Amino acid sequence: MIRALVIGNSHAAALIKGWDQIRDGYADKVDLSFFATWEPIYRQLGFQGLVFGAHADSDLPQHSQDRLVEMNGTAQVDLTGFDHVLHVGLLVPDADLIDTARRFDVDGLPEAGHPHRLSRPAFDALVDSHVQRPPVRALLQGPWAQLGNRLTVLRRPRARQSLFGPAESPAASIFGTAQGRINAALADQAASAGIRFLPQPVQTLTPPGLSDSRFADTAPRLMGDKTYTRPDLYHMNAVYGAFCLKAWLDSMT
Amino acid sequence: MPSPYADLPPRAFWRTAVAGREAAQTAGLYEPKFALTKAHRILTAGSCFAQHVGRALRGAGFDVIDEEPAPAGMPAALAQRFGYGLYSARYGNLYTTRHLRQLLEEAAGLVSPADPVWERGGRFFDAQRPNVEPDGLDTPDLVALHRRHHLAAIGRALDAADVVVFTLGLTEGWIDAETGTAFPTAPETIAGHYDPARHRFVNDDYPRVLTDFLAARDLIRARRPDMRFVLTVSPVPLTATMSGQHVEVATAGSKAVLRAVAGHLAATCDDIDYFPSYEIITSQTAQGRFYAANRRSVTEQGVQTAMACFLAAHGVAPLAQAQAPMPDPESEEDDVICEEALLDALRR
Repeated sequence: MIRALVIGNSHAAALIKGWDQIRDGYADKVDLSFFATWEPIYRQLGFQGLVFGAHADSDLPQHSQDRLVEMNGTAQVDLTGFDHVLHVGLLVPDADLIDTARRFDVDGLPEAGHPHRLSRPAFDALVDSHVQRPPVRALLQGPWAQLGNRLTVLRRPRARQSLFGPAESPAASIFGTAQGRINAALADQAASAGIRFLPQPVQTLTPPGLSDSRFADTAPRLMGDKTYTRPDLYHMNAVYGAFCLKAWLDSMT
Repeated sequence: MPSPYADLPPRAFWRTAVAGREAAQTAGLYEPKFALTKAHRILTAGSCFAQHVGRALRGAGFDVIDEEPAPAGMPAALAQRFGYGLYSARYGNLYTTRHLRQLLEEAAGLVSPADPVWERGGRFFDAQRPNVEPDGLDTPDLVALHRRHHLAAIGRALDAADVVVFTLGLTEGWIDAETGTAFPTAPETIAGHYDPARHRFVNDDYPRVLTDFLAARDLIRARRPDMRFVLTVSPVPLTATMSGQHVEVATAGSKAVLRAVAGHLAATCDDIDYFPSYEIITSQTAQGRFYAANRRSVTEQGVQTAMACFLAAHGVAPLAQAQAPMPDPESEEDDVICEEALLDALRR
């Protein structure tokens, strides 16, 4: 029996719900646990050795610690005993790329006739700069790396296709191309750090490489029965979560 | 009769205006010919010192036009590397009035520069601004496509502008011998291939600099009859000279020509003002302290002193210095993109 842990921010909710859909298929193979909380709380958690969470010396406000316990039954999780850990919801801040995709034509990609034009070297350099941003560096170079190849990283889902209109829209192509490049760079960096990188399952993507909007319907929240509503660009539903879990679990079993 | 000097104000006398003055005390050095307000839309262009001017104006809250903005989220250093945010469009440094005139003629559809695409290592560069795409582009056709977009952006910037701030930088340059097309850098410096039979060195004299600027002004005023101009002269010396003179002597000669042209234009044209940043940086009062250790790069303190004078004269406090990106003191000399500096690298 493999002991596995899914840990992360609000994006873990899709996997928690997704596990309900597929757990029977792994009943005698995987003992899966979850530890998740909202991003504003999650980013204030830390390590002591391999124990992750809110520690005695934490600056996390008491009400946040209470929420953390309410969600997980504990304020900390010891990663020592897990064979595999899936870190869910890595934030690569990319909202600015949505603006770029909507305002610029890019060499070599479908064009909308915008007055502003971006060369491919400038576009590539812009996209690559996103992988140098603090959340990524913190994960790949920080204490998480001590888990080595027991750790797998799953990014926050890509923005929804519906944000860009039809799949053939130039903006969708530009944004999707950027996402592919970010993923490739992340995979390289993760490999260099001895960490595994789990790409978003292709079944959940549209041809340009954005999240298929079908998987955004009824995206669950971490607490309660409410779901994310339309203005949300990134949260996905249980079906998406099941695809991600299957891809991860099947790679280890 | 008293001496005609008798009633002159203290600023007219060296002893009272200069001998005892601190370099940072610039009051009275500049009396604007016309007011510049934050309601004006400003187009900036010129030699690399003009980057400082544009940044300071933007930092002080002036509306500096940017018709080719960097994509949102592009880190400042990366944007600068690709020529974004330096001027009102991505034309890079326009060191000479000859180049300014040619660019405006091209934007007006009057000329097509010869030898428009330079090559280096299988990549292709816009010969008129080879530094804005440091990695080059895939094909000459792409260079041409980007240039069309660029020229359109220049048109939009000119149509939107109320005031042009232009910094005269150099008199020396390189042209295509057959057509007279001016290049911002010598071939081979960034890209391109130097052909002595084709590429000719020129050192523009006073009449040429003046004629080119007046032609540029006519082209601009054809689009915007009410356009006004603020001229400055770059205090940054030549990195290298092809004149055969010592580079220090060549620098003095070039700057004298540019300063004389700027002075003449300001004295004879109601729409043209001259701001003495050159004097503030280079004067005896400054005692060279506004230059970095290489005695060429202007320090941030020098830029701030000059621009504080400009802003104060226009009734604006340089309060937003904090809003403008402050260069790392360690890299102060590298903060401004200057093709000229590449010549230094070639010398090493």
